[in-house]
Amino acid sequence: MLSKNKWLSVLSVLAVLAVLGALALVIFYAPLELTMGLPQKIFYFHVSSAWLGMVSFFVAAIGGILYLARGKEVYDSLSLAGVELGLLFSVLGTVTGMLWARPVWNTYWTWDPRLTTMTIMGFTYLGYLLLRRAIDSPTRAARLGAIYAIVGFVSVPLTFFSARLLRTIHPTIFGNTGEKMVMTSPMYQTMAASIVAFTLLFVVLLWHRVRLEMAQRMLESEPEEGTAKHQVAKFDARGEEQ
Amino acid sequence: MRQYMASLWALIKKDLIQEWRSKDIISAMLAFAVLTLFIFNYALSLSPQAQASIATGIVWVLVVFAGTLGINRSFSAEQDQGCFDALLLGSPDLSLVYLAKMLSNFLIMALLALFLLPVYSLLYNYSLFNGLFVGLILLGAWAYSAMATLLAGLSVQTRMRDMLLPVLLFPLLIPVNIAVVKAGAGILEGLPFADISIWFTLLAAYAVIITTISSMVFEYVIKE
Amino acid sequence: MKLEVRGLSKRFGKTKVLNSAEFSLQSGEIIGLLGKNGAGKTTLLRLLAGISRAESGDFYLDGQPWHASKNENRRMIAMLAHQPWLYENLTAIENLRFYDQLYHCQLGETALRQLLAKVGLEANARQVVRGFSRGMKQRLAIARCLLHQPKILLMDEPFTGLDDDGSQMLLQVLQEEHAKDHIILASTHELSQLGTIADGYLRVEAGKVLAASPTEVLA
Repeated sequence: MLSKNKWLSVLSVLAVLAVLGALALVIFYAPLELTMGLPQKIFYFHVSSAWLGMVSFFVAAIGGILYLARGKEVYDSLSLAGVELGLLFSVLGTVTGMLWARPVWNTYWTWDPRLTTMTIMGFTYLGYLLLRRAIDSPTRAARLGAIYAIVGFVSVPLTFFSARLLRTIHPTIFGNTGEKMVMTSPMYQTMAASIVAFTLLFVVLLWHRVRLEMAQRMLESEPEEGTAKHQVAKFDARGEEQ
Repeated sequence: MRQYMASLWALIKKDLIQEWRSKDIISAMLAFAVLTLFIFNYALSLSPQAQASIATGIVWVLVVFAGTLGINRSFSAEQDQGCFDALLLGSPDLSLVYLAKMLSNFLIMALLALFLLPVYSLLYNYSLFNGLFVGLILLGAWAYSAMATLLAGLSVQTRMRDMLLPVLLFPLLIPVNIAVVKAGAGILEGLPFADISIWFTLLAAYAVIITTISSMVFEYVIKE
Repeated sequence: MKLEVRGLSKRFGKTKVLNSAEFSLQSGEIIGLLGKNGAGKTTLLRLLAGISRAESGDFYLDGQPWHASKNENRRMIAMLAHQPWLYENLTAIENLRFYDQLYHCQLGETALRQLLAKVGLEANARQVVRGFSRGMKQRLAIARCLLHQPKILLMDEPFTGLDDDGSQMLLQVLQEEHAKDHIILASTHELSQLGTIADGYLRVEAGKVLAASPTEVLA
């Protein structure tokens, strides 16, 4: 299990190339947008990050469900990896969103429903990680984390929907993100390329992270035959390991 | 089915008697809410004209904060006295434990909200006594209770305990906050129901979805 | 009634507390559970009760596959744990009433009071548990155990906190259960307590559960 995985190595290289390729497309191939100019180019990374933030959450929730159902540690690792990457991409998405908004709409923050939902997702991820850190027993941490991931994921559409309703009923005062950009076909192509490249990167990072986590757990839980004579395991009141 | 309801009632009764006897939770919540109301008076300038749009927000924020105080405690007996194990052993369906806890929390929240409405009306000379408004607050309390009870079950089992609940709860509560405040403002401004019914639907959907999922998932909160 | 356990394993992180343990319990026997601190007595009891999940292991009751956590089987088990599992803001009788309702025993008020009398708490029926001493809570916990007439009693250091009277009471209770042909497994540190009535012993050591005869142990 710890041996080098050929597929993963190949995929890793591909991912790096893809991201470099997408970067090149963004810089050299994609034309300047009509009204927004150069800052608009951040948009490609912004959308990719946002997309992956969403995907990560889905992965985390699925990992959670599978862990509760089957109990295999690998599902929990998947969930944890999903959350960590999700945090990374939501922060990236929020920051790129702010960098894009400032020059274009003269404000760092627009209460755009998608942006807002993504930032809230980021907080949810943080909550998940805090939750896990606050629990000593690894099985309990996995179990409770899975529950939070599931319920967090379920609340995302509700959050998005309510934020969007808010906008349609009360038109925004800050910035006019309703204004559509004019997108030409090279832009669509660059967009697609960006998304594909980043998704590939995501899969690679996820895979690496899960392997790392599983390896770490294997190391930490090498069974010691015999009693707790030489190693008294501490139990809390409910008999769970401290 | 009868047995189910009987067990449910036994669980709720147990929590209500405990709270009635100690009055720990409700007294802290009410005190907190009223005092914070005073703080708001000095922190925000609440002109009479602004009332319609702001009142709901203030009342709801108070409910949310005071609520965490109370709901934080909901599982402390189970956690500290090991009663989770007793329930594991004795209760055929652990979703019952969740439902019972959620209902007793809802009752406590409802009490808080119903206490706040007249106090607010008194202090700011602005009547919140509107049937629909009360209904909205109660619906919000249900949605709140559904989510907070589940998360309290999680946070009580961690080292951080009380401090973790708001961190876990607030991001997931956003839809409820938006819906309650917008619908409330709409009601107080006299908008026709058709305009705000969508918020009620959203609240109800949230409450139903979260209650259902939490019931299904709750056994994993307790089981080892 | 015979409860057989095979291949029971449980791990906590690095430590394999139970490693493919095998043993059996017969009804009509009071078995003492021995072992050093941290050996796994509590773990074993919790696994039998079904409130802990084993890594691996099979349980058989009278030859048929059995597990404590199945709904039909829950009622058969009673556990007296380290913590009394009582609600501090309820009175003694309210606690029993709650458990009565939870288990759908439908014992009347009189029956509940009789149960309290059996454990010596009749006078404290309407007293809130918060004011109880450790010994009183233990007595009430014992009453809680007996409430639903379980067939399998799992007890974790049941003599903790009991005074002489209380210990006498517990011994009597155990003997009554013994007479009813129930399975009784009680962990203990002090052999002098259980020594008079135990029919046999199990010892948890090095991940295994070994039988030990009374003479062997008391020698």
